[in-house]
Amino acid sequence: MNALIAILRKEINSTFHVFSIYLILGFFALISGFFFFANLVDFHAVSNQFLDHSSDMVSLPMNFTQAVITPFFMNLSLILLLMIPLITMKSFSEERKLGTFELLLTYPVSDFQIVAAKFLNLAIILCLMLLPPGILFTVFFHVKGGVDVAVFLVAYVGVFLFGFMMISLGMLMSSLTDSQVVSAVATFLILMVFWVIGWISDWIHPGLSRWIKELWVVENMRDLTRGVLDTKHIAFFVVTTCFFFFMTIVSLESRTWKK
Amino acid sequence: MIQVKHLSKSFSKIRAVQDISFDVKPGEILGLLGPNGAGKTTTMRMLAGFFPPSAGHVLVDEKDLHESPVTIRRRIGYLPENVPLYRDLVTIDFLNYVATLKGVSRRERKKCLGDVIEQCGLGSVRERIIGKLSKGYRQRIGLAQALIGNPSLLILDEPTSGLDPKQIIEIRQLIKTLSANRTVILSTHILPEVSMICSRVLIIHEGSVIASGTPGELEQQLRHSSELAVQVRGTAEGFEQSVRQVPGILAIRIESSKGQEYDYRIIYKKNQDVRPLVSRSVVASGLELLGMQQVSMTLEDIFLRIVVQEEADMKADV
Repeated sequence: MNALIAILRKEINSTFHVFSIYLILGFFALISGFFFFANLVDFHAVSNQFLDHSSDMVSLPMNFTQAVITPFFMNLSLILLLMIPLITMKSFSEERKLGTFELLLTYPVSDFQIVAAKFLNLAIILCLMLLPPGILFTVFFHVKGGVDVAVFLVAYVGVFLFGFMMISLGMLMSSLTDSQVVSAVATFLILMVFWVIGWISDWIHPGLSRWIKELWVVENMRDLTRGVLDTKHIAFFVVTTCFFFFMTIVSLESRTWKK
Repeated sequence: MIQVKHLSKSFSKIRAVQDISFDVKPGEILGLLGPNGAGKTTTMRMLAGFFPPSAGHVLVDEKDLHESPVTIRRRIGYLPENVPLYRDLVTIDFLNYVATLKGVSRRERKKCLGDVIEQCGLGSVRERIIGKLSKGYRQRIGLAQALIGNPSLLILDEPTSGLDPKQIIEIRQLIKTLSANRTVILSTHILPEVSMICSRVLIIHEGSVIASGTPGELEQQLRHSSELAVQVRGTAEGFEQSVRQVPGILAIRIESSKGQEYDYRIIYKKNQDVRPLVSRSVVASGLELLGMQQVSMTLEDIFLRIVVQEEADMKADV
């Protein structure tokens, strides 16, 4: 346990030693703030139209969840999809390139401890990224009175779960290559596949199509961002996160296989 | 202390290490010597537990390293080639980090780090960022991290590579001091290093051990011929001819000449003292004998000879 904490502390130290992390956090805070206000302003405009008795002109949904929470969290997920590969690419690739990986793997530490510590460090970064939207909504609900707090909470948990899955995948890719660029590109491409795979579901055999929809991140996220707390979606993210986490350990252990 | 039995390692079709066996006792400094690409680093990595051998075993205190790696790694201090370090960390933070990973308890940590810092002469750089230190200091930090936890076995891969001559002397001295109460295995491609600090040497070439012993034994074992340096003055005509007739002489050549003074090198068969007969030949040729010494063969000569001989044998087999 001590070793895990020591690696985690070192990871945090290294992460916040580099300027780019502040750029990523700052950019993400700005962009999430922008989406929040843009969605809110649209919703406000639509509400006013409705109050002016011109409801037939209203083109946007007249419901806070549908007009603000769902689009906000779907947008946030897509931005995360673009940015998570940038924070996970370093995790193992850099150590592999510097050679410190060799040092780390010859210390009396288990592979699980190494992977868990790196995962926790990335999870902390994710939490910091998702903190500003959380604060925005809390303040908003506090000022306006929150009828949709539960919906927000489910959507918020959903975006965290998706984030953990991306981190796990990013770590796996990083553990496979010395190159941070290759790691980031591979993570991004696989995440894109998860994001668009549902598009082909209409063209293929219905039996297969049903399975593909289960793997479709958008389908899983869409329900969560609507406030639908379905164990199926939670399980999807938990299982994929654990799978990629486990595969990262396997990738580290693969060096010990007798070839 | 450490027993290596029939160690082999293959990477897909390349056989990096083939059937290496040796024992190292406590207090011994074993040097693995070989040209670049001989399989030294692969051997060191297997000894340090970075990856297991394709075949064979590494036993540390009679326990198989790859069966209980986490426990046995506590007894091993490893310095990889090129000294990989976290360059963004401060020296003391890095050493603290390593101490925690090696399971040094919080109570003992202060004393342990203090000792290691003193041994490696890192007092003046303990608060400095590693990436900004000179290579010599980084090498010392590499050694310091290997020493944390007081391991009984130190594995040092090319510990002096890339250092300036002063730093090399300091690091060698340090390694000698460290070997007092532990086993040290180091690899190098620098020959004088081995004769200077190692009590035993394994010469590795293309993944196999081709010779082993103390530096002295190696010289003795592998010296098939000896060399004599003879300085004479006079007209040297006929001298070479008469020396060639002495039994046991293999070759004679002029090394240098200055006016009427000549410096000859005479190569003769091992275990045959040709000095009396050579001195007689000098006198018989009407020359003045200025000096005569036996030239001792350096480890470098032996090493080159072995490697060249091996390659010639291999070609002959093909």
